[in-house]
Parts: sequence; structure tokens; C-alpha cells
Amino acid sequence: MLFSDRLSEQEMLEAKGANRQVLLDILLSDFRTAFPDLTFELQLDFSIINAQAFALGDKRVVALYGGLALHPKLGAESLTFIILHEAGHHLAKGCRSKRDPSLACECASDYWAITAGADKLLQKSGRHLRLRAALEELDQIIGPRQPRKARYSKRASTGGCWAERWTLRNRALFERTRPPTIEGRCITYV
Amino acid sequence: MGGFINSQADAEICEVLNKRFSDDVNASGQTYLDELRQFFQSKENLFNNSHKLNRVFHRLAIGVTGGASVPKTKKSRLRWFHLLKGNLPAAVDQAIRGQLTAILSLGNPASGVKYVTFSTVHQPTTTGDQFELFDKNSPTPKVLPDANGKSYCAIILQCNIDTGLPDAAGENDPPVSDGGVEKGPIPFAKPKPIKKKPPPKKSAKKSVKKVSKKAAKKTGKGK
Repeated sequence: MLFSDRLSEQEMLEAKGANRQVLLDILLSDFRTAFPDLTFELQLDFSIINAQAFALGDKRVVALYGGLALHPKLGAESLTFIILHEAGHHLAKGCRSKRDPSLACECASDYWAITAGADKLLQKSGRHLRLRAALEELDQIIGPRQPRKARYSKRASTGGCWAERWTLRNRALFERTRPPTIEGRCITYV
Repeated sequence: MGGFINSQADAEICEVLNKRFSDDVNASGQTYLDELRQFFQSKENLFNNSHKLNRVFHRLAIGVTGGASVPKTKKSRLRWFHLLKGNLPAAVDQAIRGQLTAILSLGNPASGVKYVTFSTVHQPTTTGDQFELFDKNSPTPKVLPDANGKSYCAIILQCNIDTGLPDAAGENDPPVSDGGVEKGPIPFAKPKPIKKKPPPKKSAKKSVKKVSKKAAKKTGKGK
């Protein structure tokens, strides 16, 4: 993610000053309890506005970077959804990520996050995912970042992989649309 | 890679490399990775020190896209070429060459992997340098099994410092040729696209309707 956007230094400082660290510690503790096979890392020194799932050797990592973890427009709800989504890359079945076939595609990860993932999180840690609030928070930061062309897509159906466009993704999440059942990979950027 | 918010340039770079080193089948029934291995073993050692990484990346990418440079955005492309053109730590440069040479040549555990994945992650590095190739700049790739029992290697560039890549307005685009060591374009034989059946003609029915309406007008039946 060498080309990701970053949070400004001022915003990083302001967010660190609040009780954010406590919220993040509790949140990650819940996830470690619910999904002990995954490694959850809080990388506050990186100001990139993103989170990432990746494997380093045998270790399956979910990293939450400072720009997202400390983002002033994001609260516990959206952060819960984001971490569930990243865990879904490791744990969801179905279609694979074009960039790394060892990870689930965005659509499969989304569906897992709001179904099996959210259920397990609630059962093991008592943390409840409030999806509507999470998506409203996320809409404020992802919506404006979408390329202008992608913001107003002619495509209205959430059939097939919806992960490329936030508007479709948002709706698919609300409607709990099942991801495509294809073996193999969904979306392409090249 | 699994980034929550898509970073277009990162996605394009990783995806074009993943495609080039994939087990997707080309027009001759060979995988793209085996096609590249054949070129590497019989024609050109792409990762010896006579080659610049930015130039090799560019040649690999245009083979896949059919001519378009990657990333599509010029600013990102120049920054990426600049990084690959001798601006990675020397140990990282050598580790990239070592791991990819092992995958493409004969006689070592990585010679038989079915595909290779490429990704970048933000992680502290063991060297403290801005970049490191997983694992600790080792020139030997680790062979991993995937969920379907296929063996693969993961090439992971770790980035340690929280700054964007510097702008490189003066960078050559496309990168300058490596000269006589280049043995022509790197083959990438795309299979022919499957022709879709044309949809059934609707016009025949419409014209029948029109004719029948006209006929109805003439005969006064439509009134």
C-alpha cells in the first residue's frame, strides 16, 4: 500500500490525545479473544488510512494502521466492521482475491464479516456489530475517495462481485447479499 | 493484500505481477509462470545484475497489458520506476533478484511452485531500513502450500517508514532499455477470448407487429 492516502500530522495528534487508545485496546482485545488464530496488530506509527490482511510465513495478520484507527470520523462501530472484514480475508470461504489467492475476495470477506464473523465476535466477546452505524461512518470517508466515474455507476445490481464500487458494496452489506459462488477470482484492476 | 480501502496504483502493480506469475493457462496450454520460466531458462536471465528492476518490471507489465504501462497514473508510475531504479536498499534489490531467480530457474525447491503472489505491507523491518523483502532479505523464497494443495511463493515487500514515495518528475518513462542483454519482448500468449453468441433478434417480431398494425389500420379492424 505504497500509494495509500495518509491522515495529516495534526489529525493524528488530535486523535491520539483523546481516549482513542483505550477504545482501540478494548476493541483489539475482543478480537483476540474471538479469533485467537489470527494476529491483530495496531500500527499507529503509520498514518496511512487503511487496514490490511496479509500472511507472513505461517502468521496470519490483521493490521490496523494509524490513519484509520485514529480517523476523527470513525468510531467503534466502523472500526469493528473494518477489523471483521480484514479477518474475513483470512477466514471466509468462496471466491479469492485477485491479488492474493490465499485471501478471500472483498465481497466474500464482507459477507463473512456481517454474518459468521459478527456472530462469533458477539458469542465470544459480547461485542455487537451495529452495521447501519458502521456504514454511515464509513460512507463519510470512502464515498468522497471514490473516483468520480465510480461514484455514479450505471450498474445497479449487486449480483456478482460488488467490491469495486463503494455504493454497490454499501448496498450489498445492507441487503446481506451473498457473494458469488464461483471458484477463483472476482474483480480485476488491470 | 487485502487492503480495506482500495489503493489503485498498488492494486495495479501487484495484480499485473500476480497475473504474469500465475498458473492461468496461456494460448499454448502452458501456465503464464511456466511460459516465463521457459523464456528465463532458454533466452534471458531477467534478474542478473545487467538488468535494472524498473526496466524488467515495465517489460513484464506491458506483456500482460498488451502495451499499456503500469500503474496507469503517470505520477504513481514515475514514483514506482524511481524506487525500482536503484533506490531500494541494496540488500532488498539483491533479495528480489535472488528470490525470483530461484523461482524461474531449475534445480531448487521453488522451481516447481505453481504460482507467485506479490504484495506490499507496512511493517517494522528487522534491518531498520525503509524497505525489506520478507523474510529478512533472504534470497531464498519460502515454498508454501495453499488451501487447494498447490505450492506457491509469496514475494512481500515490507515498508517501515511512514512517508509516501518521493515524486520523480524527471524519471524515464518508459525506463531506458538494458541494451544488448534484452532478447526481445517477454512472451505472454493470451488465449483467444471466447466468442459470445449474439442475442436472438427481436426486430423480426417487432416488424411483424408493425405490419399487422398497419394492416389493421388499412382494413379498419383497429378502430
